[in-house]
Amino acid sequence: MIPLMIAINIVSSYLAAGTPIWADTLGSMLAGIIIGPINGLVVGALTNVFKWITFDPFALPYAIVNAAIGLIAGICALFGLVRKETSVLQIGRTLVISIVLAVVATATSTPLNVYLWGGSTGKAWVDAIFAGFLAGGWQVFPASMAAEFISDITDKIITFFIAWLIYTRVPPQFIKTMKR
Amino acid sequence: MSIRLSFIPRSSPIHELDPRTKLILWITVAIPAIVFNSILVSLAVFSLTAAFAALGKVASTYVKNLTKILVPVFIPIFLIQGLFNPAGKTPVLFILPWLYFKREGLVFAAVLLARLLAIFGGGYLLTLTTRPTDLMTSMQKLGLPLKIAYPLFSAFQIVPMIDSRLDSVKQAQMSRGLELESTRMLQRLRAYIPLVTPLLMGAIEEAYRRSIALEARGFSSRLQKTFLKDVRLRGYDFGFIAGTVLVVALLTSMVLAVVPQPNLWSL
Repeated sequence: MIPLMIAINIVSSYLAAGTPIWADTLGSMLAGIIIGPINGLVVGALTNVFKWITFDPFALPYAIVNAAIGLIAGICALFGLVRKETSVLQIGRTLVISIVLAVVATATSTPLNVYLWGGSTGKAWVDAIFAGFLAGGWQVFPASMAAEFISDITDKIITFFIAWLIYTRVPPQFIKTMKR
Repeated sequence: MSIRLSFIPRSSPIHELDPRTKLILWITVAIPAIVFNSILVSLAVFSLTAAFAALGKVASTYVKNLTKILVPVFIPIFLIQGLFNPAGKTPVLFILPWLYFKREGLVFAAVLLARLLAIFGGGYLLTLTTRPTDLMTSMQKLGLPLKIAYPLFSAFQIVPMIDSRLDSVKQAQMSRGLELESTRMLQRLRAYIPLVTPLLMGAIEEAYRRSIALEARGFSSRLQKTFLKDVRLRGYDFGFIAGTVLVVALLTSMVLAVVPQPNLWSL
């Protein structure tokens, strides 16, 4: 199951090319929710190792970010916070989890962004926000963190909602097979 | 999309090395760049990895791909850091009376660029000159469990497979009237669900079949497994490691002796 989830991460980030989000954690989230937190972690980490071996020599350190997303999404599911129901309560829970995921992603990726890239992220609109904060007199680290958080909150809310909607549409028999 | 591996098959002294040797080489090169934070030290050790790339007959790809990735990223970085880095004081180039490039910011961007090259150059050399299966074998020898190594390397077959599956799902959904060619953001995001859900279910079916096939071949067997193609550390590898450590130490101390730290330009 793990290589398939890695493939979903990769394909999903291809699908998202041209939109303002990354969506490269969809497979990690799904793996976390469906097969469990440890598998989410492994999928997240291996996705970046895979990218490193194939086309992106700079992807390796961000394995930590992707792994953390898979792990946290999995832990939330383990505590029964991700359910197959479309109630207002569940939508609220999904929203809260995506915000938590955005915080986790920001906390893990900002130090890497600042140390390796001086706070830039490589997405033009995020870098523009970053430049705006700097021009407003902010220091590099808080400016980068703020820009990263703004982009992550958009990315994680959209991606986690997609992950949850897909999860609600997968028949329970399939999920039983995957858990084995 | 087909998976384009970094690996380029050649017969060269670098390709001959055990992947573990190249891993140690990478670490050896990255350490001085991280410790000294100096442009010249970073460039010196990076040029060493470039020399190895030349020895491995992959120099043109090595330089071309690094440039292709870094140039579009570093133009904005130089702009942002040069114009807006809060440490910037000394004006270098005026665009408008209140908007000018400052030396400290430009130096910082240059430090970043040199450090990135030095930290990742060695890793890229590793993936350029190592067959993924050899990498997997050596990772397992370093203690990575098969349950993690196998999924990673089977992803090389599965990613292209999932991608072609995505293509058929796309066509099937379009024939049912799903709007996919839309340029509107919301439409594109909404299309995710009808695309990825069938993809996932097809993938589950595939995974199930694969796991049965693997078990039929003794994947979970507790016996000691052997490798079809073994990698081994030889005297040649140890010589290479010793040589690299020596050269890196020499280069670093020479650079630091000529341009002592700290200095105005972080050289």
